Amino acid sequence: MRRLLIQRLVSAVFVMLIASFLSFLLLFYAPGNPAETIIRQQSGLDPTYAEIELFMKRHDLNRPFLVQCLQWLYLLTHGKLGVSLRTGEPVLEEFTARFGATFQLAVAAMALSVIIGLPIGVFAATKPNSLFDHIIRVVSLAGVSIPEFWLGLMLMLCFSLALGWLPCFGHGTVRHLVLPMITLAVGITASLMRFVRTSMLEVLNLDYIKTAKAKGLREVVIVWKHALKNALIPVVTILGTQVGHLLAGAVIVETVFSWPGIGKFFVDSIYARDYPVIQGFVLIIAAIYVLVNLLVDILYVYLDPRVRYEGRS
Amino acid sequence: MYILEVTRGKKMLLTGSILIFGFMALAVFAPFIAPYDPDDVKVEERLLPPGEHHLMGTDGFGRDIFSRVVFGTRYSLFLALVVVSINLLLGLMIGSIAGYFGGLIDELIMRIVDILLAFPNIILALCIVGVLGPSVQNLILALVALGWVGYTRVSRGLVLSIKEQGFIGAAKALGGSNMYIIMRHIIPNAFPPLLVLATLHVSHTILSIAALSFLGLGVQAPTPEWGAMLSEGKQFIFTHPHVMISPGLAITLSVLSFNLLGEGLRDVLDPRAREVLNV
Repeated sequence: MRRLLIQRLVSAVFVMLIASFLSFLLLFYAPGNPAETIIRQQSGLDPTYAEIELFMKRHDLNRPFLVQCLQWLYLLTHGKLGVSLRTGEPVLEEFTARFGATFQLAVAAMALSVIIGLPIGVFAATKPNSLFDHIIRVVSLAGVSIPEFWLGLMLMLCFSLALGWLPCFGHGTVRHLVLPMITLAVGITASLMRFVRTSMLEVLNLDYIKTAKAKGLREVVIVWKHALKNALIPVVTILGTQVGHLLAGAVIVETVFSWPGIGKFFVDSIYARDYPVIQGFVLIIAAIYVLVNLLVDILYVYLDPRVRYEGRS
Repeated sequence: MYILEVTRGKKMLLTGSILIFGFMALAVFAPFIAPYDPDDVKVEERLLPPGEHHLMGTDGFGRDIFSRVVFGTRYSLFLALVVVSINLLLGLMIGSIAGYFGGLIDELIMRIVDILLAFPNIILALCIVGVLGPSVQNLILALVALGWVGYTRVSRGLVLSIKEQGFIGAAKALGGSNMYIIMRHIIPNAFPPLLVLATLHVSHTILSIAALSFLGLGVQAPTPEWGAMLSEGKQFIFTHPHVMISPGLAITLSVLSFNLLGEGLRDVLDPRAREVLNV
């Protein structure tokens, strides 16, 4: 157990190092001069050659590749991710200032998906090949097929423009949260529902469920207590991959709804070629992803004693 | 249970195939189906609602949306198929080599795969396209950069189980070279389950391409690609929503048809292969 943990931690650090190097490499060889872009954006005028030189000197952008890379790694080990070329604020602060909004959106979407997807998945599994099961299958297939950005725009059209129930942009109240949350949740709900169904179907065919039935336990107790407990174990593992989906979805949903989170800032930084922000954000996002998957692995071992004992022998 | 799944799989397979066939026909016969030139700008006919002359209305430049959606099939489907084919071939080759030879090569390849699998791929794709500049080549590059990894892992798993079977030993005993065995025996046997993965992957790829183009980081504006059309139409969403509806429906329907085909194939496929695929 401990060995497994250490192994995972080491590989996580390794992944992070490679990630930072790759993102650095990519940005270093990118076409276009960031100094030019940034100065033009700040002053609204085309910069002179001297201005560009000065800007590059001040931000150490004219040093050789290896020097810049090592410099970056050095700062990284001291918790400094550099300064945004656009705003002049430290990248880490830019991230933490916006993370709250994204976290709120992601948690709300995840909660909605679990609340809707889990019971429906279980219910579909108890009546396989019934009309309900077929309808759910079609609905979930449609759910994973709709592009998020388009769904967001269509919801906006329907609930903001036509019905006037909800605001379509902005952030602050619960009413602002509803549309982005639904948009982000649809795809996750659809895949969760199908995964729960498959997992539940497998468990319901096991011997101990037959025993429970033979014992005369009520169907409700068998399904929701005995079967669900075991069916949820594999579901935990996909929650890890869903975090990647959430992060990717957040980028698009935030851009569509002008939600002031990390996703929108990331896209804006890409447009502006804000190198330090792109590097820093990719690294932090990779770190979150790796960390969550590490936690999921640990949770899995904790939840499923079979894995624990196999690991020991 | 299995039989039921197979019948249901066949239904989905059929529906998916018909829809995809329809899209393919649209792509091939686009010039004959589209009533107008998709790039024909007519300022006096801009933003017309759907009607008799323009089935889906016209966009902000007075171009016929129906014609653009029809021609868009060429870009969206073609690009997705290219990306998936490259990923599939690359993954199959690398995965077969890793699985067949084992040892150090296997270790090395799988380490790289594990590292790359740890990245949320759309974030990296965004980053690549954003940094290298939006163009079709960079879009393909971004989607291939991480796309091959999944196929490599699955192919390796398949190859590991195939290589233990009797006919591989027989081929070896007959003096077949490694390359011959991989090309003639391993790859043809690993291919069918991978095809399921690839079909489902086509739908993901259509979605990724549309999303990147929508953000202005994929196929660029005048091209009648569906995501790019939506990106262009965004400014008219509150005044002329019809501009936004048909391209989005086209994306959804094409993604759905590949999902149906993939799911159908998976249900029809024999359970043994399904286990390896772990889907």
